[in-house]
Amino acid sequence: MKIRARFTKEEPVRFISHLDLARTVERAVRRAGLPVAYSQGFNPRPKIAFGSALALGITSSAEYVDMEFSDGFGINEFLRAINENLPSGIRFKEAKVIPADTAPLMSVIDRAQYIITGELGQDGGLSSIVQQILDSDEIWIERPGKKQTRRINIRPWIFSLEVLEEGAGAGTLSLLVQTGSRGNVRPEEVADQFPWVFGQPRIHRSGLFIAQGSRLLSPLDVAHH
Amino acid sequence: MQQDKLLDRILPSVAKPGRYIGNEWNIVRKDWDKTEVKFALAFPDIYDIGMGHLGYKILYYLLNQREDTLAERVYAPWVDMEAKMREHGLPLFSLETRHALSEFDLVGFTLQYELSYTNILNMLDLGGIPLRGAERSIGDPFVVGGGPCVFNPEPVAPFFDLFVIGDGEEVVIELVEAYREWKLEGSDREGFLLKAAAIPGVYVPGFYDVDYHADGTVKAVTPNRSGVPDRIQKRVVKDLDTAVFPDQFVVPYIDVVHDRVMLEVMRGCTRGCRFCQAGVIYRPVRERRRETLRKQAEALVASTGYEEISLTSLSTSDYSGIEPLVDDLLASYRSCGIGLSLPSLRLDSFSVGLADRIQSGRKTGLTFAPEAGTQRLRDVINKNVSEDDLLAAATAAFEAGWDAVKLYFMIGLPTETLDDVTGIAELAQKVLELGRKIRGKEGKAGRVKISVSVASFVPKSHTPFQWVSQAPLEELERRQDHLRRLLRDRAIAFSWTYVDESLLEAVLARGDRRVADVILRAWQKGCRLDGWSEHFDFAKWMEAFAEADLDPYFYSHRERDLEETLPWDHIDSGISKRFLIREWKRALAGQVTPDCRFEGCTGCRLCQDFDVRNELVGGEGPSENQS
Repeated sequence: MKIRARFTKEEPVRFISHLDLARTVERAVRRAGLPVAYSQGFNPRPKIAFGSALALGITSSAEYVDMEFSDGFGINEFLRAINENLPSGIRFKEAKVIPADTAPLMSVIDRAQYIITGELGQDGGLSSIVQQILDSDEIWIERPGKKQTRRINIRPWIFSLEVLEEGAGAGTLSLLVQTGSRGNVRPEEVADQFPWVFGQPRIHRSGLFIAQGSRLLSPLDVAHH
Repeated sequence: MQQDKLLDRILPSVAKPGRYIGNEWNIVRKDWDKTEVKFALAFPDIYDIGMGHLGYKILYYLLNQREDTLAERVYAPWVDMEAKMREHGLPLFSLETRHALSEFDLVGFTLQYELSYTNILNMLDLGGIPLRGAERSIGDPFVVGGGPCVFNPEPVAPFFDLFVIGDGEEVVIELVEAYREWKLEGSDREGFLLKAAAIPGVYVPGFYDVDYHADGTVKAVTPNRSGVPDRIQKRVVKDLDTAVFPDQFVVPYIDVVHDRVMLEVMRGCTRGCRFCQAGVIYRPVRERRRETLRKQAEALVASTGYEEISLTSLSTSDYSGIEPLVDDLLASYRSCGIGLSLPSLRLDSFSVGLADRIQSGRKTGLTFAPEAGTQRLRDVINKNVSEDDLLAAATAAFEAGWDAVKLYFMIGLPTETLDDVTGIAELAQKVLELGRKIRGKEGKAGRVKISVSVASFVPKSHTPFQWVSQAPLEELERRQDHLRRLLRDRAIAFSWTYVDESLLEAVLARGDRRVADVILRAWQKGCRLDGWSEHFDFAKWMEAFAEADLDPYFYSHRERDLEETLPWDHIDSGISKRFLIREWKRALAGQVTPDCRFEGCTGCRLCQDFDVRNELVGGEGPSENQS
């Protein structure tokens, strides 16, 4: 039986890496006594596959994972068992049984939505910067790699950017970008375009989607078809 | 809370912030205000290292079992975090409830290795606690030391209020009870220390004066209060089988050392290697029954979700019931994807057979520790393995499909000559050729890799080598060069330790109380995390020695007279000095001494004087299989 689930990554777990999160979930599955299936071969691994990796420091209400089990059980039973065995800050919110041949999360998720909140100086001017970004064809950023730093134009991958709130020394943005293997924008690359004061703004991932024409589908919806 | 907000701001800018967040699975958080005794378990290194320490897992569980006590973990911050904490005035805090170190009643530090000493000062300073015991007053915590290095606690004595010598499980509870009594009585700090000093195994350094001869050697260590013992006997948990062992471990998020279920199958080792301090201070050998270990494994696997069980001890293949234990655990856990590991294997084909049985995945590497390159020198150090043993073990390993073998050696051992060093290279070459021959049959000769790891010997207190001089540094380097020239084959990887670090370790291991001044000065100059080569600053340490007017070579490179009063003579490991002298003389004569588990008593006096004995479970019958 294959299950797809959505979970959250909140305080203080936002400070662990994607790899640490994966290990934490695997161990919770084991503690819960859920009959997870293992891969064949030299080094058997539990069949647990995550969606798009979340950078350290970012909270999320939209993390997705697929898990394969050797035995069946009810969804409510699954949610209760896993949540009872997770540290606070990680909570499974919904889940559904999916067909065994459902395409893996990694290969289908291509949109990510973020909420960016930070402190601003007197004249933060969020709206005018947003307008500038949307009016331009190119936003070049530098992405450090293992060997060399690459210059990348991320503008084509920014689908939506709007000011949700501005005033009293603080502001909030909503951002929709391309994610995955066919192009990827890191939310901090967009956040860095704004003059936040007192360090980094807080970033929250509010959605991961699969684009179908002009519609955005949730990974849980898509598994239906 | 102000502190939480501050942390929130700091954490995004430091490496591996997961070290500082707490909130792990199985963490114990108690009501701070309603709990009487607050005990900090401080580990003088970073989280990634400290979380792997089994002793603290035991104490954490033991102390938190008590309703009147809470125990919380505190680790040294990495340099980036320390800088931020100092910049923002954030004190060193516990992971459970984020209280400053200074807010605890008792602050324990475990002394696992000498190069962690400056971390203790740094943590006290960051935690808001006066560095010297003598400077602390009524609101300050009592600072308690434990662990192997307290068998010579003198170099750090001024920074501690008291030390616990030997097994900690029982003493720590007696300390908590003494603390409660003292609090009810409402007397001064000395009142508590007097109570503590009355507990067997507790050493209150402030109650002892150290006098020196004109040549700098110790004249005497004498009590300056009535009613405190002249010598402090180590504590021994007589029955390890019934001793408390946690049924849950805190499960970290981030990658840490020994991140797995650890079963302490036994404590102590009586092999009697003459360089080994652990073999002295953890005696006698005490094994846990297989049934007990199986229950502990079951509870820990269920509560942690770990994917691996490791059987730990100083020499796990010596556990007398090892085969049935391994069979039992494999039968129970292999099918659910839980692996087994044996970290410390004896050098023989039996052990290789065990390793082969438990290996589930790829055969990544086997480690053997012949320690010395020639039989002559192995006899001197009483490492009772022969070249035939090593070659038989290596043969078994290659035949079972291993390609990589690691070999551990030491250089600078007493009586060592260049021939002994050459012997290391020859042995490595023989193992390599053996591997190529055996693996060659499957066309895999090219895959064979030997890594030769060579540490510089550091003489330790309470061992038969406690009187010797460390080998001169230039000589150690010459021998490393010699090996580098000999180990030319590209299939052999050679690694060694820095002689400067070995020198400092040698000073701290056998230093007296005056060395505390050097440690303090070195820390003031910015030394910390000395165990991390990238932070080790030898020049600063040498400046500190000069300013304190002490010669490091007096401690590291001086052969002591057998009659000399040693700075740690008042700490009683239970192994008599006469035995150590006899062992030293046998070493010089190249005579080996057998293991008292299997042959007769060797006369170390521990069992007679401490009323203890080796407890082996070997006779246990086959266990009923539950499945």
